[in-house]
Amino acid sequence: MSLGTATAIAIAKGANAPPGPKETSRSAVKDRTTVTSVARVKGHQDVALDGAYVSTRRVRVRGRKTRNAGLASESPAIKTGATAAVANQPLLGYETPAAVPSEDGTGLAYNSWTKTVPYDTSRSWAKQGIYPGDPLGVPRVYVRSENETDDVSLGDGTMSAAFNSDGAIAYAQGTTPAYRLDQSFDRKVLVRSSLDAEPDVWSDSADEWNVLAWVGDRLLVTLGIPDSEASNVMVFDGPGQVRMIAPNASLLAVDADGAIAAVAVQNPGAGTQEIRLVEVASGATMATLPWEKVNDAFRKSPLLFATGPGEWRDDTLVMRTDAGLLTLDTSEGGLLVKQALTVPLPSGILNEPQFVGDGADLVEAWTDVGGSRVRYQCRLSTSSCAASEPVPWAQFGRPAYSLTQTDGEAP
Amino acid sequence: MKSRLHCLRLWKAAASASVAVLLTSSPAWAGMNFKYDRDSRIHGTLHARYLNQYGQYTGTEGTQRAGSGSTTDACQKNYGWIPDGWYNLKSPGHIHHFAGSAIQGRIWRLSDKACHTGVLRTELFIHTEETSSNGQSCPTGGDDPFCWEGENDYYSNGCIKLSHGGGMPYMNSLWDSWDGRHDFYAYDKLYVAG
Repeated sequence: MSLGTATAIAIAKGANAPPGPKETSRSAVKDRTTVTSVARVKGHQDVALDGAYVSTRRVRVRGRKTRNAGLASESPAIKTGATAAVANQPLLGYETPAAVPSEDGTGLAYNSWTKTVPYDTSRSWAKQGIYPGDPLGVPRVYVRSENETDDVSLGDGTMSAAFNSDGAIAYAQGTTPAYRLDQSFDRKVLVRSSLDAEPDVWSDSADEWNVLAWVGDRLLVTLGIPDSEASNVMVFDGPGQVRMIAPNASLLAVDADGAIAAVAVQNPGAGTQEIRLVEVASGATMATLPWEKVNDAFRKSPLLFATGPGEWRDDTLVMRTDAGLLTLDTSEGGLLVKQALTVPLPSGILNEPQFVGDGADLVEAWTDVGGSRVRYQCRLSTSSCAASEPVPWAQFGRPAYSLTQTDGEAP
Repeated sequence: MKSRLHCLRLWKAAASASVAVLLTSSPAWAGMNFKYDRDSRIHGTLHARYLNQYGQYTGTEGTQRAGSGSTTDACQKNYGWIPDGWYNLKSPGHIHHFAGSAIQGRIWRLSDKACHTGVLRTELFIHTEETSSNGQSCPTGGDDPFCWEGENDYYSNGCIKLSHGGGMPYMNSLWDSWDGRHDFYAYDKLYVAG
């Protein structure tokens, strides 16, 4: 399989970006790379590499490392075993991790959902006797740590969590314990300095907040846009101090220094408008890549959108698209298209692409296929992928990972 | 009894007549529901189906092209096409001048719906791209939210989208004729297939 040639196209930098090299426009490859065959690997376990994985009923840890915690421990610090509740969170979808490891690799926070009434997603609500305002389920974040025998609940109505390097945990908590059919599940942003501490309220208002990642002492969150499933990416500089990072956007990743957020800004209707690098402390746009520039190289089959979560490692930013994976080169302080990999899927798109192993070449992701899930590992340098056998979605382990970056000193 | 039978015959005759006739002579108790065929992201078909007083489909319908989603994975919040199955109309139901943040104008607001993996899709509508006064606002020349620029506007974040100039006025007119109710809640008013 031929190596996908790096594509260098014009980059655009934001008005607040420091002076940099002149923008250049170099010739691009004629088409993006398509994976023409996918090796099948028996059993999903054979495909998964180091890290913690959470299915609806179980936490499994494979290998000695906890991915994105940056540590290799001599023995797994996160305990394998049954979850305290069904680890599936209907309100979050796939843009927020199902589970997040603590920064020291010893703890794990996972989202769960306890149905308050049995319901069948394939049937009409009315035919099941479920009417607007009826409670459907209670979300709860559970934390598994080496100090506790049992997983500890952060409380009814809690969802989306992130640890910082000091051991503090941020999360959202609903003003009511349960989600009620056809009603907005408004919640507040809370931070506990430790699992045992009382929470501090960071958001002045209850709204559709989701916690994403710490950037130093700042907290990246999303705020839902009314009448839409879209969100604005926001940042809390502290309790009660929130401002916008990017409107109608999805967080792709935070750089290793914990200073720059990469976001995919969406069109008002549908599709991506641009990829943007934003300095979190100042809110300044450091670089932009208009989506039409991405598609300049792929005129025959343009990409419609890119979205998070992705990962940023070694000057390579990987994200998922409507057709597979897109990687951008950030080594020059801007955004250059590196590779657009089309991955033939039975249906749907790839979810939660994450680099595995060392370097920025092997990407692990997964996709829904009917009632099952298939795990993919794609090697970017050879434009090849391996895929597991389908696993019933409830038994499939979603990776635990953190969008928080604490390696550097964030301003 | 005779007069009831006579009325029933008249109603049945009206039900089998053309849409143009029905627009001016629909019985008060008639209603309609929708069926959406997810043939593709931007070439789906929205059917408006005329119902009898028992809520049964009469066989009379109007259809328009519609679109939904940016990917065919219904479990992708903000990107996936609308999940299959039955939907209620959620308050405010159908209104002409919705003044929302992301969506305005003529809308049918749909109930929340879980996809097959349980992910809850919310904020779902049947709508077009227009202003709250049913006009157009096209300030940038790019993709404006209340401006129907063209074919690409059939893509959505999950909602069912009708064109501003054709699909929406057609469906709105059928609703006003066959049902006529605004600002109300109703069960099982949309079925999504495919």
